[in-house]
Amino acid sequence: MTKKVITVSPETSLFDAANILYKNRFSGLPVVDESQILVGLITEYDLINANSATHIPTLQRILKYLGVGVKKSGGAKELETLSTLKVRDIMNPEPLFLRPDATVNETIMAFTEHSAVNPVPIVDQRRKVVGIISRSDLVKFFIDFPHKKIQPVSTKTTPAKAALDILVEKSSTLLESRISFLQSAIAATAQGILITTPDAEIIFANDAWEKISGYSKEEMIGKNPGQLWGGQMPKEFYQEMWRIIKEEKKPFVGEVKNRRKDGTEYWQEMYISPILDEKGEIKFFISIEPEITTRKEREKFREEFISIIGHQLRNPLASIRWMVELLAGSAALAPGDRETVNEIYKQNKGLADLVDDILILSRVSNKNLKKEQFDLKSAVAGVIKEVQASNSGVQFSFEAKGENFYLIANKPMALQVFSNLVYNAAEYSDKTAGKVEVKLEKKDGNFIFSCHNNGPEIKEEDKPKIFSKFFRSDEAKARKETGTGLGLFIIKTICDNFGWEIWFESEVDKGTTFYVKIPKAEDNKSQAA
Amino acid sequence: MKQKKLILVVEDEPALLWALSDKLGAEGFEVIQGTSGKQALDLAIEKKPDLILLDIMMPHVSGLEFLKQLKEDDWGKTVPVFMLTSFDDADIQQEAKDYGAEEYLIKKDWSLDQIIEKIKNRIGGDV
Repeated sequence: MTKKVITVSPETSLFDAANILYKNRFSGLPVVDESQILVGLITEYDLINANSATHIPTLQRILKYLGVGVKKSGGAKELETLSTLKVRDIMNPEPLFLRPDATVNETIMAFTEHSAVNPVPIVDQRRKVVGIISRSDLVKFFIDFPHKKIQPVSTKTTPAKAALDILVEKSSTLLESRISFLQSAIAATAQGILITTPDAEIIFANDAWEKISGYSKEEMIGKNPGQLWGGQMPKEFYQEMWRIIKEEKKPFVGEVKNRRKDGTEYWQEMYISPILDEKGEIKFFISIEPEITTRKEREKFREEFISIIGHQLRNPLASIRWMVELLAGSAALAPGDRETVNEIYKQNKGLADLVDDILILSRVSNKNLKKEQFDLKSAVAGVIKEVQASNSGVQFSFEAKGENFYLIANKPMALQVFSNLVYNAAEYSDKTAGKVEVKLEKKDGNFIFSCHNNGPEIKEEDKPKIFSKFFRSDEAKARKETGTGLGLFIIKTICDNFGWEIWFESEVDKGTTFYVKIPKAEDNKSQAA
Repeated sequence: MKQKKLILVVEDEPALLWALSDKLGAEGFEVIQGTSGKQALDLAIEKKPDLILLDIMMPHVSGLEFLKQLKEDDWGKTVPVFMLTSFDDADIQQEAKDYGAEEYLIKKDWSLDQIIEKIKNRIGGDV
């Protein structure tokens, strides 16, 4: 039953009562006096059957007027007649009621024996209203407790038993029709849908899942995904997945490689949500997995394509470089031709750099990049040494506060970030007394890499553009004739893929500092999973 | 009479082979050329060069396979091998070093002069 009961008094206008019924979608309201004692019941039925013009269409019109105001004269007249009516004029003064200790059987009987009755107020000994119960409450009761077999106390109460049977049948039919509706919806989707117990035992799989995995429903039910198609990913991947769905009780999203019944592998995007009960405990997991093999294959093809083209381009570019070097070394070269040869050399270098950059970019988004643990401190020291060798006029300093700058990442990609930043800093530092200061520190468990130079500031209008692809500032063009305009774009792309943060500060006479924030070690570990 | 140092250049790309040979010749080295892994291996065992410049991506027998077989030979174990390739992959690089390559040079990062300097530093010029 519902304990919070909305009631009206016999003096309530019919308007207000109708309004309450309509707005709350109630089928009836108990009528009480000042001390909450039941004196009657007013229902939709009463409203429809009342001798006045208060049938439903009229009622609807009234409510419409209430909302938008009276506009038509005919309506106003009708309204005037109706507005004088009160609840007491049409209520049922002797309604059926039940006691709070009425059994389910008695309740069912009340409804079945009085087919027009709905709802039934619940009153105490003094007829004070303490609750209300409707037919839909009863139906809900059976839907919520479908496993609860309710047996009549005595077999002698045959009408009650019959009534109960009808109700149970009705509610289970309703439940079944709902389930079959949901099932047909789930079956029709092209996405695989799987439901498991909290212990990963499969209790439901749809047709799409059969198609994707190659296993029949009979083969899947009762098994664990690990016994069927799982286990193709690193152990850490599954550990992380379980941690999120079981401990954090949050949805997990990832790309996973599985194995079909016939042994072929396929990629799936996986969305697993834990479904919790009222206590917050996991009831089951629902997993939705659209197949993405085609997309994965396309990605792989693109990666390989770029890689092959890249390598095939590198060889002829190297040949051109060396042949041009041979030409440039020839004493017989006329002065004008020497300029041409130098230009070919520069253009060739630009093209070779571009091929390199494109190859790097094509690899950045590859999720299968090998990750390893390494010491950032010695890696950065190595980078600085390398840059120093080709920038002898620039003064370098390196300061690392603390020890143990270990991180897990793809090392060549990570080094690309630091190497590009240090190279840039050296290249754009002060022309006569260039200075580059590199620092490594720990802050809140994160690593902060910074690289400062004393060169000219980055112009205000260039600041929003410097990480965009193919952007080259006037300063860059003046300093270096060839350049792909991809350097900072590559750095940004790598940082984004690694979950690192990159930003810079640049001011007149203060030079420019680039910062890279690498999330704390635990995050790095989870990244490696 | 001075004897020239002998360099075996293993490279399937004619333009690169030509440029390298030309430069090495101009710097006073004697050059023999291998254009496939198999032919180059026979040539190496027969002529016993002082140093081998070795490409990786070649038809049939790859540079790495060449290296592996070369290092199975008693003389082959002693000859310095410089990988000279466009293939910059950390794993391949490690593999080449494991097989006994002394250097792993990415073609585009090295000018002809720098390559000559590396060779001279390792085996000297004329004997």
